[in-house]
Amino acid sequence: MAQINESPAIDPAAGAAALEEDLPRVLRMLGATSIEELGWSRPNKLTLLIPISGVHQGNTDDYLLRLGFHAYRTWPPSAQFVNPETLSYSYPQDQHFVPQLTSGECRTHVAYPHGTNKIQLICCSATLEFYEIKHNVAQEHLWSETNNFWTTVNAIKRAMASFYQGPFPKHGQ
Amino acid sequence: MNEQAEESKRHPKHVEVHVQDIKEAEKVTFSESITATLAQVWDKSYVELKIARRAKDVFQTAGHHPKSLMGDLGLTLEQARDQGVITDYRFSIASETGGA
Repeated sequence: MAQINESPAIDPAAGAAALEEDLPRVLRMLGATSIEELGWSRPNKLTLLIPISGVHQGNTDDYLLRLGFHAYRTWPPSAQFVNPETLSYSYPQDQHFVPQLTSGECRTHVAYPHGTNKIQLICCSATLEFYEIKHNVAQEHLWSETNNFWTTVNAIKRAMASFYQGPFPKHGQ
Repeated sequence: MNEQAEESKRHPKHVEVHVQDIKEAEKVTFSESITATLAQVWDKSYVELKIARRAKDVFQTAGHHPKSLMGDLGLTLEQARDQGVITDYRFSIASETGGA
């Protein structure tokens, strides 16, 4: 189980194995037989790419969420919104690929201070970055390894459904 | 078909409810009266899923844009449908997260 103020331990082999175990369970729950059926892709053993959309002022905006499983399932998956061309995130040029989420359970930051760096932070107790920056968290919200990655995606989707404020502005605009 | 049967077909008294439990990655389908409240549907979901309620569970709609139903638990399925709170009878049980 994740612990307050503990740094997440990286274990790619365990992460890949846990994802192999969880993927069929989640697909079955969602009524799908393959990730392609849901529009997802898995470019490597430790990465899932999941399209997510949000509606703000009548406009539908599409985003691509990249989940990383290198510390999974002791810790939640890494979660980053990425440039769909590069499948990565560079601040500030990619900040408009990040949705503005303002939920008390899930808030996005395009450049959150982390040591000497600035990272994209989906501030939610179901993302790895939340623990990497050692964010305050209530005991009852700590990630448990009995969770699965759909907990993370669902938390983000729920924020998208009710607290989406459009994309962050394009750099320089 | 008599008038009562036609009315029953147009406005069924029971509907098929689908509930996912995200933590267990399980799903269940059961029949429920449209006069049942969302709270009653949530309660019955645990029985049908054969799992215990957990602290910080949240009842929500399912689908691409899940919305919390925690403020609407007193509505019946029929009221929730008619008021546009739900668009179908698909729900999920998720965990509250912390953040911000």
